[in-house]
Amino acid sequence: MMIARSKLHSFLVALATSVVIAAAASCSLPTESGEFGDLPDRASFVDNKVSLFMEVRCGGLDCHGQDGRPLRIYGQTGLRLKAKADGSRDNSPTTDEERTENYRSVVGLEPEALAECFESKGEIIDTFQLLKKPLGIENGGIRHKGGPVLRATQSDPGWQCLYGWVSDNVDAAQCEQAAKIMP
Amino acid sequence: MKSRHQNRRNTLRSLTALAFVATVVVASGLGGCTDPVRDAEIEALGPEEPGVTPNAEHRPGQPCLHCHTKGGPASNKPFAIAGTIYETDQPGSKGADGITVQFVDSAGGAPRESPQTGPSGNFYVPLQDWPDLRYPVRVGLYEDPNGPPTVIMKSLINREGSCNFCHRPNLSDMTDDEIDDSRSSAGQIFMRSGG
Repeated sequence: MMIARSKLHSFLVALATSVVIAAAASCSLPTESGEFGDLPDRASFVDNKVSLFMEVRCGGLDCHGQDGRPLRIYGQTGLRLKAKADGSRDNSPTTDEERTENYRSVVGLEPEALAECFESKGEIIDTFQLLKKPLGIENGGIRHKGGPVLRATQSDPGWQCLYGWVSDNVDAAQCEQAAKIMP
Repeated sequence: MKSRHQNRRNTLRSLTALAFVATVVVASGLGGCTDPVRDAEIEALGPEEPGVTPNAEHRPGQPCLHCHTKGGPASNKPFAIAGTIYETDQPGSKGADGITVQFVDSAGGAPRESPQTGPSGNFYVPLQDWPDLRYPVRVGLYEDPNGPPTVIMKSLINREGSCNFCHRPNLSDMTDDEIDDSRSSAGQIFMRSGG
């Protein structure tokens, strides 16, 4: 009787531990688990409209809205994660699933460099392509096939959005402003 | 006598070497003019419609700059931007004739003349009419060129001069592959919804 009770106790402890581990794993993305250091989280990417900014400004079908791109961005006016059943264009708003995939794509580019940048509050960006490429060579960055699309200035809301996010100081209003296409 | 033979042999060797170098130069020159990816894409577009000779209305819905660009088979008539506009979003819709397409680039520039669609819905901006184009570009479609825009593109043109590269014609009875491929198409450019 004592042995049976002891076995039951062990079984319950193991079960509870498994449930806790499984629940913890399902609540965080692998990219947020600290494997590469501290990274900006998915919520800050979505809630502060960094994803929206990148959907509009980077995710065109002739740019990063393509399946084959390492920085692959899904969005309402660009590449969709899933096709509509009849193959017609899906113009519905960007889904939560698509924004999660955008986050994965962005942090998966150079996670170590992103962690270094994030942990240094934006001090270390020398080789970080996510920040260097959009500047283009013309604006002190590196070669970007799409040319210079941002300027590292206070007056460029796109730069403020992206740099703010990777340096743990994002301003959603800047991202929203940067996502507007002026007529 | 021996030296004449030797001279001839040397001359022959020199000529052989020269021919070899010339062959290599010509072959590499020819090779440098082709882009196998683009060649495959052009081949996939298929031949002209029977009885059609290349003109401003040919191959509607196809990515014009595959051919009409430097190094392409129609490089004698390079385009800056070109595409096709349809009357509706329905598969098989007629081309929208007489639509004025107005552009503005990131430097505030525009083509020397805004293009207008022909009967097939095709329009094009010759490269010489917009040599200093600076992406990204915004675009609007005008039924009345002096009135407000009828349609404004919701996103930017970032670097692709072939509008139909992203705006592929809408199809009916699609295969599974075509349905999956539709994720990466903005659908055909059209003036109004419905049949």
